[in-house]
Amino acid sequence: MTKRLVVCVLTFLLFVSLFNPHLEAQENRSAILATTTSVQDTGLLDVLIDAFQKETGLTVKAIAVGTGQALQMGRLGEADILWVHSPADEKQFVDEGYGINRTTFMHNDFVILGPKIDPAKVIGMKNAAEVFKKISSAKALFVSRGDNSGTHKKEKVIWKDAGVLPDKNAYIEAGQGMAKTVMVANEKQGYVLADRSTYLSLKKIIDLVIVSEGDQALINSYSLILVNPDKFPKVNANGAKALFNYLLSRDSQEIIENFGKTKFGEQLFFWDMKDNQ
Amino acid sequence: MNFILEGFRKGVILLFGLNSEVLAVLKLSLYISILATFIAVCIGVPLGSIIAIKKFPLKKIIIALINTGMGLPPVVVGLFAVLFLSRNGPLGFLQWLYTPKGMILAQVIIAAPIITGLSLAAVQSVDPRFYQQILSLGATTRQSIWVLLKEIRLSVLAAVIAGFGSIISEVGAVMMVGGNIKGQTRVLTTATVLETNMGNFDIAIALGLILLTMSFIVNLALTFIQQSEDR
Amino acid sequence: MIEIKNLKLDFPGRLNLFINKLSVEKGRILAIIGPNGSGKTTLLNIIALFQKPDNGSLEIFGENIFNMKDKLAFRRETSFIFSQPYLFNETVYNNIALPLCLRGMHDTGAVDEMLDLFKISRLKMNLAATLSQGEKHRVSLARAFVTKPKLILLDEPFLSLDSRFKESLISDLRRIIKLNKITTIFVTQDQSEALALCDTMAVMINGRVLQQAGPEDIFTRPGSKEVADFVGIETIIEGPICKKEGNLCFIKVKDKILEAVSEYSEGDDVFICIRPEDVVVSKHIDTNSARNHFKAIIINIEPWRLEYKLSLDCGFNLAVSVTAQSVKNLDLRIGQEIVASFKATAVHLIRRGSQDDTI
Repeated sequence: MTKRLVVCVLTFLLFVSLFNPHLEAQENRSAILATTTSVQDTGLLDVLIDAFQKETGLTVKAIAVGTGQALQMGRLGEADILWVHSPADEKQFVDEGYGINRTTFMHNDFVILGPKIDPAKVIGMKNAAEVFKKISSAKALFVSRGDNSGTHKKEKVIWKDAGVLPDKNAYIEAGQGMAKTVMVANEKQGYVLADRSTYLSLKKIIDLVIVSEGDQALINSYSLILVNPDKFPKVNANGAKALFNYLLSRDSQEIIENFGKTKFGEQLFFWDMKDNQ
Repeated sequence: MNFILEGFRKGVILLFGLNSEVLAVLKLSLYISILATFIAVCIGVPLGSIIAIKKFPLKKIIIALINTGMGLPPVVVGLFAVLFLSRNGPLGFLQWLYTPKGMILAQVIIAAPIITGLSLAAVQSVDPRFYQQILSLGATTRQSIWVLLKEIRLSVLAAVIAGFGSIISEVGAVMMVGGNIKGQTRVLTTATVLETNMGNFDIAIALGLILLTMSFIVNLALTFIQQSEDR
Repeated sequence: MIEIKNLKLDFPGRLNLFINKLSVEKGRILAIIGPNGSGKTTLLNIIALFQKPDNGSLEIFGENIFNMKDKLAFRRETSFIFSQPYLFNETVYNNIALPLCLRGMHDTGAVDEMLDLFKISRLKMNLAATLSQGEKHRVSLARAFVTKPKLILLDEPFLSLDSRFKESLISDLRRIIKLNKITTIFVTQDQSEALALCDTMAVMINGRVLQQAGPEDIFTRPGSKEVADFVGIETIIEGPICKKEGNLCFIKVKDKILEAVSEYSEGDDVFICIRPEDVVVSKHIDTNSARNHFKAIIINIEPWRLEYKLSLDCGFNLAVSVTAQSVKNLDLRIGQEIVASFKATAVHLIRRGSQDDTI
């Protein structure tokens, strides 16, 4: 019995040593990037981070959380650089001194999805706020992210512009990520605000269609913000700056603009930097 | 139904095609959960045995605490682990947040009470005279516990299996403490969540099936050890 | 020499153990008998250091055990045998070898010796779980003896055994104990077991040792009413079987010959037990079927329960119970000569072992 035990322990140690490899290598002093799930869920985050790591040999800990959590992490100095999409909150963040070098560098767009039968009769309308108004008055079902994410905040802004509240009995807060929220809307045949790339990736398996797109209000702008190293000495300022510079570089631009073309046949993200520096 | 079959197909392709991402994720899952189980066993089995055998004040309360610990929600463990391991937290100096080490820590916290509690129950279910018999044969306390555990190895291995099962399948703690970082802290469970969020349900199903298969293989190995002793 | 003095352990509401004095000489076997709940097992547990007394001293081979620093050393010179064999899920060989392994010794010779001694060599590589009850008990004993302990404690060791296995096991056990001169204390409720195995006996009732003496004394001259009530009134005398015809044994007691039906052999040392109600008294020798007739003198008459107890001297002590009516009819008085008869089948023998096994 002791012999068997010894064999087990040895095998185990062998296993641990074999698998242990590169994991311990680069951990300390990687910059922490707090970004939103929408960046991750499109797949763009992985591609850009991979490219950055390959090019510079540095590593990044890219943590995808909700916009609310990302900004909170910035406020606590738990992240070194933020990549978020909630302009009003971002401005407040910088004003309060937590962040510096806020740079809006790319955007994608949202679309409003709805059931084919279109109970609120909004197909083809261009004005997002008007669409929401009609959905509310028709008491048609609307499914929200309900999680204070960038998407959710965008949705709330549109409701505000529309000047109405959604009908209480026809409003569901899914509390989930974008794809799951769209699936809920699909299941219940309701309207939902979604980013285009999520829609494209789910297109084949859902019955919803785009009922409205193209409105300026549906533009979703992404910005980078460096967490203020003066306020938080523990911040990895160099690592953050290196990533910051890379994401704003021409290489990055190329990747961003080409993203989506192979997978979905259309460009998903648009570069916003005036001077490509 | 189509979904599931598609998932199966994708799973086989991913696994046997030796897709490097999937393999990396698989390796990390096994590494973290097996190592965490091992550490939890080293803590839990002796601790459970000693608590079962010795008499001491507040014994019942300690056992109640362990039993409560058996049901700790992984996501709550993850939350507290993050708070402790974050830069501003008391253990921030370790820099274990968003690393496999932090994930192993969180999983040890989840598995240890389960293994302790089950070992405790296994030892308590033994006739106390049996333990006295071992002592009377001239064993030290340490030797007695070792002999006793060998006798109830079936139950002890069941505790190990339960401990492993609880952490290979959890997602709350590893998600929060690890951050699901590609190539660094992404494991099968968190990758499944990600693929689901991205709408890639077929890949998500595939990963889920790979996870089940891996878990089955490890448990098969453990079960063989357990049942081979039962003659 | 083991001496217990003023040993005290209280279980509030249940049992108060108080042993004034109890002793066993080196190499002797002490049987502690008593009813359920009398504290016998607790006493044994205390000697084995499984339980701590409130106060008192237990001197073993000169040392007070409770003050001993190295209790492990004491445990390693003592073996405890429980009423359940408590074998491990291993082979017989590994079970017996375990105490040696625990001490870091690897002496295969000792294990083989034990296998021979307890007649279980053929079971050497069998799994303990596959053995019969009797075989399991033998393995348990072999395991206890393999380290050549100085002291052996047994707690109702034959409780779960059929009487067939019991007898042969008991005589083997006594032989081995005597051979190795091991001091032994064992606890039992079964009086015949106690008689078969012991040199000296102690009666424990309600947490107290009421009498410690040789077995005949306890049974024929119980020290108190409680002891008498517990052991019952029986005649117990000792003698060798001097002749055997068929299944009829002739036993020599002092200068008389008793006849008894038994399987024992010529030369066996036996205890002879005769129940008082099996003895018939009369004025003259009756030509009845009883084979045993003895002239006797009545030494004592006293009331006992619903009848009377007569103590007779037939050349050996004999206890008889008679009804009040019989006392009247036969006009029984102290000093009177009568005849006591009893059947050979009414005589119950307990083998002591062969002639040369007493030290």
